[in-house]
Amino acid sequence: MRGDSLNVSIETIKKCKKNDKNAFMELFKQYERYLYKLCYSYVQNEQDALDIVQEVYIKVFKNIARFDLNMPFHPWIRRIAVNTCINHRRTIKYEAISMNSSDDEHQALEEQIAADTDVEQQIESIDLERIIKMHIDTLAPKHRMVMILRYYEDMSYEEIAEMLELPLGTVKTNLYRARNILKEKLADVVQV
Amino acid sequence: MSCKFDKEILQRYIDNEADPLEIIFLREHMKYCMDCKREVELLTLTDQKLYQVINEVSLPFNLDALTEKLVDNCIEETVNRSVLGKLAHDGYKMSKSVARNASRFVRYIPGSKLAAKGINASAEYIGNSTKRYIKGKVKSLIPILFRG
Repeated sequence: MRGDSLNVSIETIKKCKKNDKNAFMELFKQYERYLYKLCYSYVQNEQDALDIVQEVYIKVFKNIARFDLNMPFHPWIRRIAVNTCINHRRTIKYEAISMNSSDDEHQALEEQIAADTDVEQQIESIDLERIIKMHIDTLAPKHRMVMILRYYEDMSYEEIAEMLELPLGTVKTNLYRARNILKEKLADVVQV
Repeated sequence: MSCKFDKEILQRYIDNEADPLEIIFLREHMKYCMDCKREVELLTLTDQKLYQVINEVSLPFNLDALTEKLVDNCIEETVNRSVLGKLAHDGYKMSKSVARNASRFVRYIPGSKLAAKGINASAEYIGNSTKRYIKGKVKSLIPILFRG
């Protein structure tokens, strides 16, 4: 699991509990990349991701006193991050991109660019990524988080169900359905 | 797609969660069912792309600086809250003592024990409502003082 590579010493946490500034600095420096990537995967834009990361830092700061030193640290901060993401209201409004317009773009590109395998593959790759990002964007908060926890945190379905307080069957169904929808969309783009 | 093969097995297969029998079943099936073979290929691609999109995130250049600024702000706010808290506490103590002292003269009025008791109770009451008032004010001040 991803959390294994983030080893915060118990000494650091003890010092954080005493409001030691250097300890907090050390803690967040270790966690900033992990937190940012998690939040960015969820919101898919830099500004919102940074906002959420800030909120997470503040929550950790306020609640570290209550953290039980006998428990592992990573699941604790991960839970804070997950809940903050799910409860975050998007502040930036960006235009909804309809699938139709992207299909048009794809066709226009095909007409404009000569048949060069490398370029085609590049475009195909960008298209696939764009399709996936757009789809993640359409998912409801908890369903979106299922995807992130599975692919970013490598969590098992049982762990995801427990964390998000969802039935195990729901977690699996959500992921399978999202994957099926994406598979259909990718099938349109991928050359046989 | 006309094939009736259980699609959930395909999903479990992608997740490496299919049991050995299911794996054997599926692999045999894919030897002659091109639809399912294609499904598995596409699902594998979807899975890989999902992993890529979700994990390949470029970091903003100012992430380090942001962390430092935030830690500074948080520590400062904690210090300021405790200073403000002390000010509020001192303010309350002062107003309570003013209320009490204002009534001291009553002791020297003959037959005033009863009156003094009543006035002490009032001082206590005034003290409590002052306390509540100050607490409320401090609470509303903090966001204004520490904005930005």
